[in-house]
Amino acid sequence: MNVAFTFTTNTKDRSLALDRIAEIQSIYGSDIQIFVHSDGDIPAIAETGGVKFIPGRNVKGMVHGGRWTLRYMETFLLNSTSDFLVKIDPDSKVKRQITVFPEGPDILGNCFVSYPSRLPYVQGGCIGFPRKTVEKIVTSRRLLSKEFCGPGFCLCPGKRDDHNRGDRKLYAFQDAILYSLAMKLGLKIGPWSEISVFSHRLKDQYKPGDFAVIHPLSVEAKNA
Amino acid sequence: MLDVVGTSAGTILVLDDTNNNVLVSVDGVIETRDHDFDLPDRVKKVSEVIPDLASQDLVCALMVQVGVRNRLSDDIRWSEPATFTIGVSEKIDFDFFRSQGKYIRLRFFTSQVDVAWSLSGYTIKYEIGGER
Repeated sequence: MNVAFTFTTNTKDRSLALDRIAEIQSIYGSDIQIFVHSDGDIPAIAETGGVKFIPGRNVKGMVHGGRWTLRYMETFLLNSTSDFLVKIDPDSKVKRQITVFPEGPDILGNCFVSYPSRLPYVQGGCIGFPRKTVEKIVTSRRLLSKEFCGPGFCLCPGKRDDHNRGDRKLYAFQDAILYSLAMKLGLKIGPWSEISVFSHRLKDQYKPGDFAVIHPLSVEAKNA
Repeated sequence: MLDVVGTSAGTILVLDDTNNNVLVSVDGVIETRDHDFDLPDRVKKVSEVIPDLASQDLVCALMVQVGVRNRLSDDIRWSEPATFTIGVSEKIDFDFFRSQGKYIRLRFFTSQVDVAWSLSGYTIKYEIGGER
């Protein structure tokens, strides 16, 4: 499978972003396509090998709805012919090449719902998209729909262990927006045995090599 | 000042900071409503439950069950209770419970002497199945 990676970074994540690039290139080779978006002003990241750095403004605020997600999907469609997009976070750890790509689901990832917030979401630490799924989502134009721009799809700062939401704004919860849109478009979300998100809960079970991508990074240190 | 209560057996009890009733446990149960995860037509399979509990010094066991059904008029099929050790466990695996349902609910409970816990929320990891 011909894959491309994408993640979005900001000032505080920038060192993690550099780590991810080095890590992915060491595993896949320097030509692997990696699309790195900035969410706000950060110093440019060197476009070595297959890296493409896309500067951009901060669009995590509630009023932007799914624009943050739309941005990386459009970049992928415009700049890559890869069959598959792997979206990670800067604090996700890529351990080895992904070898299993189940064919049934339209989106590969892990579904969660938390209460009392009660918003179902597909956890954004690692999500896999076949190209046709990205095309379907982008062409629907619904990520910019007003339905995702209100408090119904918000993260409240302080409710989560956040490293990038210190300005106390309300943020559009991209993982929940993606889940909701997938349901509206009839896209099937299926589990992916190659990834482990919330892996800090796996300390009794995790064995090196079990997973291609682990999120968050803190687990790696715990289980090394 | 002491808070006291009486029982039907004529015993006068002092309310203190323990969680028993004259060496008998005070059972604690929280049962959620039915959840459909915004997908009322699809069956769901719960794979993990992560309780959010207030910090406490006492290490004790909280029991958790998953209940499923396909219609609200159906009886709930409950999993065997699984143990979450407060202060030690980080999640509960429910892979052993193979049942799926369109409606999911949880039950948190204890029935031991001097067990205390305070649930503030919970996270469910699940897989989406087909329509039935």
